[in-house]
Amino acid sequence: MVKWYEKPGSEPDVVISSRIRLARNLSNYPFYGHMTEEQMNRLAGDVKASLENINLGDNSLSFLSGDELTGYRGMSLVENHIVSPDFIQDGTGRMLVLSQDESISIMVNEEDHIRIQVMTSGLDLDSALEVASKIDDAIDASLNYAFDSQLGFLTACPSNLGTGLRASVMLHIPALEKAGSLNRLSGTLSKLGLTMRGTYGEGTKAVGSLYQISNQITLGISEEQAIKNLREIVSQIVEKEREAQKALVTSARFQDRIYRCFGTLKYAKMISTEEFFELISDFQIGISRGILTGSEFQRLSPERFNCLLFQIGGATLCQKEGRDLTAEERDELRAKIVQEALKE
Amino acid sequence: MLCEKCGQREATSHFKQTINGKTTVYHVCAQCAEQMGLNNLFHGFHFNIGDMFGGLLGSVSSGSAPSLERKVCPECHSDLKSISETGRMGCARCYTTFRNELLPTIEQLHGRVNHQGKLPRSAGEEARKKAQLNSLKKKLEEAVRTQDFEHAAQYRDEINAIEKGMRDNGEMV
Ligand SMILES: [Zn+2]
Ligand SMILES: [Zn+2]
Repeated sequence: MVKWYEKPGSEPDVVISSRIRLARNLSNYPFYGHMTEEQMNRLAGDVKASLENINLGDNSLSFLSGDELTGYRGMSLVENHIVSPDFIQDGTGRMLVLSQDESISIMVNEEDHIRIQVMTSGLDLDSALEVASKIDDAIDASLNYAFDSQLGFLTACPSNLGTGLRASVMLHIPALEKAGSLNRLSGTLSKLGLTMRGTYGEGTKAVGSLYQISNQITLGISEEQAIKNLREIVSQIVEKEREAQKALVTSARFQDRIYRCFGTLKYAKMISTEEFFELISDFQIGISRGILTGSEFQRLSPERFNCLLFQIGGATLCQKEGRDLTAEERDELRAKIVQEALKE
Repeated sequence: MLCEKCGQREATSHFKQTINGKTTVYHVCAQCAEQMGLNNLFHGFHFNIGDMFGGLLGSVSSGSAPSLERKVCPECHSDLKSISETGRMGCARCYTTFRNELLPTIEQLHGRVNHQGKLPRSAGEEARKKAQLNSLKKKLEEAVRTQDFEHAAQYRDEINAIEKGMRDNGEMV
């Protein structure tokens, strides 16, 4: 089955993916860390039973025991954002519910009893929320959620009280980053109850110029309003990034850089994760802004490279091959996958 | 420098993470970096402002009376000290037990302390209908404002149907 990240999404030149996460707990069990193993297993069984009859079309659910998520299999799930690193540290009493296309994942007995997560490609928080709500309703129909009329859904950590909703959007914003606009943007976002984070390698740039923006406040604001705020600000950032990219590509030096990235991506025999992120970011600007001309670039679209992000992680490559690979083997395989995406 | 995670191997990877302008640097060894998924773009998935909750609560509760520290949750036996140390509640009942002590910190985190939005079945049918009415009324207002009369009429009908149902059941509207 086609994975969620292989499907086209809206605003693919700037927005990689959208994600909705709902934190839920059941009223008849203590929170994670205060349960016996027997209680955790029983809780997992309850959740499984509540979802057994849900109709999700051909995107059916699989139920995986936490003990199965070891080695590169577990790591690959972390790389692709399906589970948290903590979740695979100790699989005891834990369960992962995963849909065929991997867009739906439910962590059972993570920090909260239930964490429903739905991913979509591009900017599409509404349909992600719709699917998450459907799952939420199915669980709510047969199990009792811990809820308080003043504090909303009760969560292990008070930062998730209220709706328990965390909506986030992953953005590729290299031009705003290069223009030094991100500090100011981050300040503006925090005044709006939103938060921006990037993963940093050495130096000051985020890996791959990828940033995640999410709502920080969950209590006293409805699901619709939280998503509307996020969607509106993201749309503005998308416009700003496009303008900044257009300005950037007028420079001959930068155009040269784009072709150099292409050359390495196309001909290198080995590509490390770091190098991949370094090259793909500027190359994407070239694709998005139509800098690369010539027949070989005609059919290349930003979508094709967005979905690479979910295929080139070290553990994900091992998972694909079904065995542990050496660092060299991973770098070779990564280069092959990139070259495959550049073909046609 | 030793790895901050395992404390055994030399830290060779240094990761900076910035959240709303506040930067934290992590020093870890290659194995731990790989294990924590720090080598890929998804690190940061798990970090949230709630990790600061324990600290915030600790600073509020440290000046409180000794009797308060002896109060324990009848369900999970957590006390305020263990909650502020872990930054996590022991069970749903903790919120009732320590409501007054927790509210100031919760307000610091969210700015508000009154739930808006979805209600589960356990909130009760009447509360759910009221919430549904409120949400429809907001949508109606918005539809009227943007002169989207087709949707406005639809929301109006839905509101009337729910209100009629509630009156028929003898509920307050
Ligand atoms: Zn280490
Ligand atoms: Zn408790």
